[in-house]
Amino acid sequence: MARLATFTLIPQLDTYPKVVSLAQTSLGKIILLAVFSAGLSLQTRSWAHISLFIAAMTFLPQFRPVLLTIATFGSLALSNWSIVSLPASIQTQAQPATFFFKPMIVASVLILFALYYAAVRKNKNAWLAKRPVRTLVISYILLLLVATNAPLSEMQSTYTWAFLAVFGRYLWFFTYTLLDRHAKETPSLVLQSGYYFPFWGGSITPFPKGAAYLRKIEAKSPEHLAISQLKGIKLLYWAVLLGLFDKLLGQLFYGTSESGQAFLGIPFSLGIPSFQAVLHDGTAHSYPWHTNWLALVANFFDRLLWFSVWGHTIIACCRMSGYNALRNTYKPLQSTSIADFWNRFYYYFKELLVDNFFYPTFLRYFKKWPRVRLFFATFAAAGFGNVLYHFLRDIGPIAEKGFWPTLMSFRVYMFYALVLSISIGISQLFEKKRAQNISWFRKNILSPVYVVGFYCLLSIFDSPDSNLPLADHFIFLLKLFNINLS
Amino acid sequence: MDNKQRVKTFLQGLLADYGAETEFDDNTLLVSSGILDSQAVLRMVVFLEETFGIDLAERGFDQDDFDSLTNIMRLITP
Repeated sequence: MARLATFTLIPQLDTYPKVVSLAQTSLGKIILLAVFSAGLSLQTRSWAHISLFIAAMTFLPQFRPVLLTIATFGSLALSNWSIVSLPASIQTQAQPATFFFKPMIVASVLILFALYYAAVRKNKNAWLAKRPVRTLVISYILLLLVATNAPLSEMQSTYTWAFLAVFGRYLWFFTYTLLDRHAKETPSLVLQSGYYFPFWGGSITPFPKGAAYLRKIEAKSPEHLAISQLKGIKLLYWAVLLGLFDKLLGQLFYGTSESGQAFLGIPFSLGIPSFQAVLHDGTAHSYPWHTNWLALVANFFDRLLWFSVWGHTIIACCRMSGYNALRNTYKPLQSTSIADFWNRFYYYFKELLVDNFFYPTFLRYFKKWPRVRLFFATFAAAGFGNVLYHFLRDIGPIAEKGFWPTLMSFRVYMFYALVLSISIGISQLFEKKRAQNISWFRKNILSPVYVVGFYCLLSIFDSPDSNLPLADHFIFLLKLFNINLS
Repeated sequence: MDNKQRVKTFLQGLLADYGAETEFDDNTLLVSSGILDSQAVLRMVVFLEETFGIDLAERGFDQDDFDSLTNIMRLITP
């Protein structure tokens, strides 16, 4: 029974002294790299060059920050500077054919930020340095407003939007650099640029956080590196297993795979319609209420699994590089409260909002009213910051439709963020301390069911389709309870 | 009671609330080790504001500053 309780599908390699010792030898390092590369080749097409960079950092750990910078920019060049992604409406215009166009745009954004950073550090008492993150974000929004309204020629428009696209991709990496300016051990800005869109992947959310955090979690000895890498291998193979499980569920739920063929030749499928299909059903009655439930729940778990696989693969590469980062998604189905799930589902996005919005608000406002203070800071992060992040995430619609129409199209997401932030705020106010006794049934069954149920229902409004009005989302919500408005 | 003892007494109360061992060294890692969580850090912030008049808004927030008694004392007597 005790063995069953401690059983794990992936062996706890990092706790075996002999394995940790072997992983510190040249032979052990080669074996780890080979095992990791084999697993990574199942997850991403970029596995070869990622493995190569990791190998360099494994054998030359004393040059890790420099190698990370080289790897990050090398990876960017290999992807043909994919960070310079022009909005679709601008792509139709005349494109500069020069080879240097994309790297030049990236360099100009980095140089401009370097000048801003230097000004902030030099003039510590100036207004610029008092709230540098706020100034940077507001400046970016103003630039977007100018770009959407200024009478620009085709060429000017191309350069401006390319600049803004890259600036937007780097924005939250820059804010971490600004937040880290007081940290004890912050590397030079040149080395910090290696953390901007690091070669191990990610999104515009910095994985994992900024330079100061990476410095803190960096392996300081061969033993630490071995443990970090073994944890990386464990996480990668866990991601591989979850990925297979996701594909199996996809087959069982929807009956199709990316290749259009049945997964593992399984002939059976529940034939559940996609969430987008049932959501767009509107006032029609194509689907019965129980099918709507199935589509919603299947979509929620499918997304949860996909998200875990994606985050685990990135963090696995990060750990293999010698940075023992926390997972991005950590057992979300064991969440005991709404705030707990928010912390476990997308950790680094939550951290971004906490560092950039929660703490600055908490430290400044409503100091005399503790509950209002906590609630307001939570709203600033999970509500305001959340909407702002998503609004600035993709500037394509802003370039195409204009600033205000795009902002208005975010009404559904604004509603989502409002409900989310209020719910997290309430959850935090009433959260029980860990010391308090909670029954096994409540902790392991009741709380996770109500928390997951809440997020599953809320996911109706976390829709990527901003063209669908808010009313249609409510119509779908009512249809789940067999209430049809027609 | 000196400042260090006041902070230590507060932290012991906090640890008791979390059902953790209340005896600790000056350099015991309280947050990064998982003994205390971010909610506890917020309570530390409020305690430092109310007891010592420290305003972290201008200084900037770093969770490391709350990780041990030694780090917290650096905030009080920089």
